[in-house]
Formats: sequence, structure tokens, C-alpha cells
Amino acid sequence: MSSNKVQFDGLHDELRSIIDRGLKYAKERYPEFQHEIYAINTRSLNISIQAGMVNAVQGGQVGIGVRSVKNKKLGFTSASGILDENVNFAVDNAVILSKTIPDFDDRWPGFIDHPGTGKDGVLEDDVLEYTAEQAVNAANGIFQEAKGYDERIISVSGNATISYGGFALGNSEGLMKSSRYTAGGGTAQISAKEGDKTKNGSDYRMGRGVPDFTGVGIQGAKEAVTLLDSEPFGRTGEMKLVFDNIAAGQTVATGLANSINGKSVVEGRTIWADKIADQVGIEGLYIYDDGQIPEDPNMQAVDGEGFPRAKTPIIENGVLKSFLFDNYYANAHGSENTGHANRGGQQSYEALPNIGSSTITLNPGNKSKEQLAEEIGEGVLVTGSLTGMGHSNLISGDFSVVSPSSFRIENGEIGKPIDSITIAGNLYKSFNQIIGIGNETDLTFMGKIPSIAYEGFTVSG
Amino acid sequence: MFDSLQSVIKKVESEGASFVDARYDELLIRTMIKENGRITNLKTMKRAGVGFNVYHNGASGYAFSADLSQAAMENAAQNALGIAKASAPVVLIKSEYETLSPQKSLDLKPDIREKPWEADTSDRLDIINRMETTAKDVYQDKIASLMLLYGELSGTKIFTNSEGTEIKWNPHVVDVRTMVAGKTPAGDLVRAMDGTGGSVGLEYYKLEGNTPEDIATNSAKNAKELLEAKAAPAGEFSALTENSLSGVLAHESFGHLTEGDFIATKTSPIHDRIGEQLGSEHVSMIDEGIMPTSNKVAPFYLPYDDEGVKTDKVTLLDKGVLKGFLNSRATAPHTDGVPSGNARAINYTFGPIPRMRNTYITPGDLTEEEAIEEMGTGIYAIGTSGGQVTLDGTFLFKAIRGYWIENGEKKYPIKDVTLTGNILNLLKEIKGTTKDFELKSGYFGGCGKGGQYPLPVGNGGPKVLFNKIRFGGEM
Repeated sequence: MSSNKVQFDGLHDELRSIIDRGLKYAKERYPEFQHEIYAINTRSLNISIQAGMVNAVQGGQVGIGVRSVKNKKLGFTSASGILDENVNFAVDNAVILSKTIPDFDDRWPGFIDHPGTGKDGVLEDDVLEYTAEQAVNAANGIFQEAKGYDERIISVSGNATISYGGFALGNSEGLMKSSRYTAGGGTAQISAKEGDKTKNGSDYRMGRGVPDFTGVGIQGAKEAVTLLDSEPFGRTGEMKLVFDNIAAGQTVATGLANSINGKSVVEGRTIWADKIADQVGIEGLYIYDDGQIPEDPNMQAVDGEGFPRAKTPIIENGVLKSFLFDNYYANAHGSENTGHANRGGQQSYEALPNIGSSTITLNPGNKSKEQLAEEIGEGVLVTGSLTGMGHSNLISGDFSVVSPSSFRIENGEIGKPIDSITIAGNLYKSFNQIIGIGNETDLTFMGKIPSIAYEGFTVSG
Repeated sequence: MFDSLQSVIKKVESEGASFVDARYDELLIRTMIKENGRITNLKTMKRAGVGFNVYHNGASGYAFSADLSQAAMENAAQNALGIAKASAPVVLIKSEYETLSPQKSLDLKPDIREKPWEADTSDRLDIINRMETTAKDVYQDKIASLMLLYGELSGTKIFTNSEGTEIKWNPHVVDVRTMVAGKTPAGDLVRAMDGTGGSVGLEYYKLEGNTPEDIATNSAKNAKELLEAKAAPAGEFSALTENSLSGVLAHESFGHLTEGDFIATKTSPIHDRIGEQLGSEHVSMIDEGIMPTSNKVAPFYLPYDDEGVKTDKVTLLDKGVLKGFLNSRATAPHTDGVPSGNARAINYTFGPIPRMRNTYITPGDLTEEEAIEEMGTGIYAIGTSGGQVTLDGTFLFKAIRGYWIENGEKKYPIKDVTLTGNILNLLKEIKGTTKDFELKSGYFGGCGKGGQYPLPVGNGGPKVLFNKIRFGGEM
């Protein structure tokens, strides 16, 4: 067995013993406080090759986050490293911060003592054994594939990355939980140029193990080259659109990012706050947040407070079913905890638990993208990421984005690519503007969301 | 620390490294956020670690460690050498750069009187509470959501390399903000925010226009005004961008296109256009590491970059002509440029890449009134909640609010103002700039690239008058 494998197999024990010792220190020194210690130890290797320039990084996230509470006053301190001195620093300073708070927080529910745990996702040994040479070859393979595709390709970026590790947390209620993961992925980003026109394409693979990267470079290159034939759309106004699974995934995920967040509900920042049991989408629309998809690189056994990850219904048959909660906001709202305490993107030790979705899934329909296009007859097929979606107004729901890769739909056929268009609408109304749902079932970086046909968005082209 | 790092450098040099950069960062970050009467975020974060950029045969590898024992540091440097060796056979654009004479500078810090990191938590709380009281007083009605933020970063950065350069400096940034959300009679939420920050001391928040009361007043007044605002019309209009929006346009839409990695790899559409007239004669743009502070100018202080290169002033555009790029040591030879001190890393877990520092459009000679009059009819766009740009120069920005202007007069407030287009076309549409100049940096927000977010940067400029900009929004 390799040393990486031995270290990975022993990770639960390593982290748990660090937390045990830290809790002992905290209890002895500050017995009147409640404490929670979170520890993370991950390894990652990332190789990017851009136009022959290589960016290679190896390291990992290693650190401690401590919450200490007395009289419902909470302080948090994080420290990089998981040595005893780092743990003690974090405990001491969390206590100092707690003492400076003037007013107690009547909503504070205490740390959780829930005994259950969800499942860890698939753990793949190939990630543990992956060498720098293999990663370089994988990134270079993606790079070479794309570079050789067409002479109009002016820039290629190929990337291969693996990471593995885990986190654990324990608190003075006696809770001790941990979760591990392995993940691998690769991306290609390509620019093609003809005359004054530059177009971009991309593709990716991701998984819990090392994916097969074959074809990633070619697919991204093909996308960029295809778009070079784009012509002005020349139409402005309200029209029907088919969003592919990435564009639809981004629209649905952005539409849910704030609206179902239990914190926004409690703090009065979502117009869905009083809409539970109301019709917020079309009939036949089923949306879940699923934290237990075994092949999902995001899957964890427990959330950032140690509560089991699960599958949460959000919208069923168009009716709003549930918000997402962590322990604090579940208590503030008088609802059940749904296990959505996240600590930043990769469960960072620097982040306080904050409500976030795991992986959004939307039940597929039975039509392909092409069939959806056929149904709408005239309009636009919108593919890939939408520029500016992240800057939507999540309070009002208004969005206005640029789609750099769209295709004309004419007489029910997907036709030529068109120059960048602007698409505007309202995210919260969009769930009622769905006129068709595609049949894709793949897990993408946007979740498990198929392509969607919308009406009522405004296009400016 | 210099001795420990040098001993690691010598060790990996003996194992085949041709050049080694070593960095030690120790950063202390404090944040305090109060939302709707409760302190929801009271944090101290300590980030300390080392990182090694190791070169071998034209390739480089970066590895880091939070464990500061000599063995752990050596292990990280050896890992970096390992990935550099693995990369060497596939590297086409080699990282082989000109030797620089060693620098030594060990006492570099921003000019600050009231050091935020020496303040008591009660001083920070006082700023938050004063904003809260003022926002409520000014808004009068029930605020749907009120958020007060204080953030601060301070610490020490140490750099040394195979050339024997030794740099030690103190990064510092403080940031204070208020966000007010109001609810319209129709139930829609509108949001306004204000705040300022930079490498300044707490004395900055005593200057006129910068006090917690001023910040909260602006936020509350603007939120109130937004309740009555109409959605911005869609289409092409003459436009005036307010200072902070001009700054973000400069940074996001144009600045990134001048970054050396995008130039060396020919990803940027302007990689081969140095010396060409890209914009109108009314636009000049600068990026620099150190600039003087005044009551409307709060830059981020950056004396050296993370490759130990002194931060030079770079003129990106001079009267519309493309003059320079933002380089690291590795990109400089591939862009016909010099290392400009733009290689930055957000912390020890990242290697340095070409980034901006304080980026701004230079002021002109119009007053705000003259600019509005000259615009005639169009949109005055104010503030920004961010934007996004693709590398072909296509951009999308959100202004927080604005005014519809008719015949040189403000007619009514507008909201949800989205600006789109291609920066290379937009630069040609600039008709003039105002005299007044503002620049801010800060802890909240900042620049994101290659997973490194939020990197403190300064953005600023005058108000900029455009012949036309395409606005999205509802129709």
C-alpha cells in the first residue's frame, strides 16, 4: 500500500485525535464555554497548460476552525495548520471574541448533538496514486487534442486536477463526525479566431476518481470553431428559448441560491419567505437538493456542523416544499434542520457555517434538446455558461445576462450560431415560464438539471 | 525566517532547481458583520505558511505548507521541484527570465496613524453601531434588511529568492460598508450600498464623506430613492458612469486584457496591438502599486510584488493608445515587456500570477454638470454590484442605480441598470472625463482570478462620458 493510501485511510483517526485533544484543552481552560472544533486536511495537485505555459501547484487545505460560545455569544477563530499550537490559538481567540460581544443572541440553539450520519461518496484509490507525471500528461493530452483540431484555434488551456482528504468536527455536546472524499477533474478552454472575431469553447470531466479525459480538448475546440460562423441575430423582443443543461442549470441554481436559503428567509431577503405550499413553478416541476449522490464530487456524509447530508425536496409539482437550513436558522425559523451548513467551497476551515445547497437536481422530462427546439418553432438555443448570471439581483430576481454561444431556431430546427445576445428576465418568475423540460440525466458542474425551454424572457441581439 | 528559507532554497538548488522563489505570509484577518440587529459574524482568521516556486529546465512548480518546520518546508520545496521536473518536457513557453540585481528592503508599511489591528473590538463595534443608528434614522420606515460590515487584514509578507533578494513588508487593508434593502409597495426588494476601504488607518473614517454616518446616510437615502425608481430602459444610449463604476469598468473590462499571462498565451484580443489607438483620445489608464491617499482616494498599498519586484507605474492606455502590459518575471520576455511588479498571490496557498494593483482612468476637465449637459439624453449609471468579462472583451456590468437624463436634466431614478458590450468598441465611444477623481480598495469584494479571490485591488477614476453604451434590462 502506498504511503498516500495509508495516510488517507488513517485520516479519520488523525483528525479525530486532534479534535479530541483540542476539546480537552478547551474544556479545561474555558469550562464555562461550549466549543466546536472543525479540522480539515486535504491534498491537491493541479496542472494547467495554457498555450504551452505550465502552471503546476501542489498543496492542500490544512487548518482549524473553532467556535466558542458562552451565554449565547459566539466567537470564531481559524488558523492554518493542524498542529496543537494552531488549535490552541484558535480556541483562545474564539473565546476572546465571544467575550467582547455585548448582546446575547436569543436565537442561538447550541451545538448539535444529532447522532446520525449520511454516507460518504465513492472513494477511488486511483486519485491517491496519481503522480505529477500522470497529471502533466493528462493536461497535455487535453491541450494537444484541442490545439491540433483546427488552424483557427489561437489559444488552448488544458487542466487536470486531483484532490482528496477529509474533515472532522467535534463539539462539547459529545458529537464527533467526519467525512472523506476523492475527486478528479479536467477542463479545456479554447479560443478560436477568424478575422476580427474571437470565440470561446470549453469542455470538462469530473468525478470521484480520475476521469477519462479523452475528447475533452476536441469537444471544447469544436465548440469554439463552430461559433466562428456566428452572424448577428437581428431580433429584439420577447421570445421562446431553449437553454441547454448548463445554461438551464445555471439559471435554476441562481434562481434558488437566495430564494430558498433559510438565512435569507429569516433575514427578510427573499420574496419566497412566505410562499411555502404556494405554487412557485409550473405543474410537473420537481426540484430537489441532493447531498447524497455517490458519484458527486460534492457528496459528504455530514454537513459543516456534523448534521447528516440528505435529499431535500424544494419544489414538488410546482409547489414550494422546503427551504434549506443549518442549525441556527432552522431554530430561528422554527423549522427542521436540513443539513445545509456549508463552510465555503471546499468546506474551508476559515468559514463559519453558512447555508448553501449541495447539488440541485431537477426531474427530467422525456424530450431531447432538439425536440424542445422543434416544439418552440422560432427562437434561440442558448448553450453553456451565461456571462453575468452571478451578478443577478437575487433580491428582486431580475437578471440580464450575455450568452456568447447561442444558435438560431427556425422552423423547429437548430440553425446557425449567432453573435452574443443579451437575455433578461426574472429568476423567480422563470419557474412559471418553463414550457418544456429536457431528458438529460447527467451530473454537471451545475447539478443534475436537464435542458429547459422558457417563454417570456427578453432577448436583445 | 530568511535564513530558514535560504537553507531550503540551497537544498533544492543542489537537487536540480535552477531558480527558487520563497515566500512566507502571516496574515491576520478580522471581520465583524451585524445583520438586522445581530452580530452574525465575528471572526479572526490567521493564515501563516510558506510557498516555493521552483524552476527547472524552463518549467516551474509551486508547492506550499502550513507546517513551518524545516522538514515540512523542505518537503514542499521538493514537491515543487518534482512537479517542475514533470512539467519540463511539455513546456513550450519557457519560464526563463532575466537575472535581476538583488533587492533588500525590510521596513515597508503604509502610512497609517490609527492602526486598525491595534484597535479594540469595541472600536470596531462602535463603527458598526454608528452606521446602524444612522441608517435607521435616515431611512425612517422599516428597513427590510440592514447589514453593517467591518473587515480588516494585516500582517507580514517575507520574500527571498536564489538571487538573494530580501523583502519584508506589511500588507494592510480595512473596509467599512453598509447595505440597506427596502421593500416597495409591490413587495419587490431594492438594495443600496455604500462604503470605503483601502490601506488606510481608522483616521480615514473621520474625514468628511467617509464617516460611518456618511456611509450609512448614503446607503439609506439611495435605498429610499430606489423604492421609487423605474427599471432602466433597454437599448443604446448616451451614458455617464460614476467614479466607482468607471473604476470597475477599467479594471474588469480592460485591465484583465492587459495581464501578461493572457498576452503571452495570445488569449487576449490585444496581445499584438501595442502602440495602436484602441480608444478615443479622451481615455488614459494607469496601474500602479503605490499612490498617495486623500479623502476620496484610498489605494491598496503594494510596494513589491510576490516575485520580489518593485511595483512600477504602468501606463496601459495613453490618450487611447495601448502602451503597456502587466507582467510577471515569467511573462515579461514573452510580451516584449519588463517585469512590472504585477505578480501577485492572495496567500501562501497560491503561486503568483499577473494581477492588477490600483487601476484607474485618469481625470479630465469636465465638471459633473457639464458632463450631464453634454450627454443630453441618456443614462447616468452609478455604483456597481460587479460585472463579468470574457476574454474576447465582451462585458456585462451591473450599476446599482442611476438616473434617466433628458436634455441635460435628471428626470427620474432608475434601477437594475445593466451595461453590456465589447470594451474594444466602448473605449472608442469615450467623449470626455470629469475632473473629480475617486479610488477605493477594500477587504470585501476584490479581484478574482485563477481561484484567488478576493485579492485586494484599487479601482477608480473620474466620471466618464460615453457617446453610447448598450443597456440591458426590462423592456
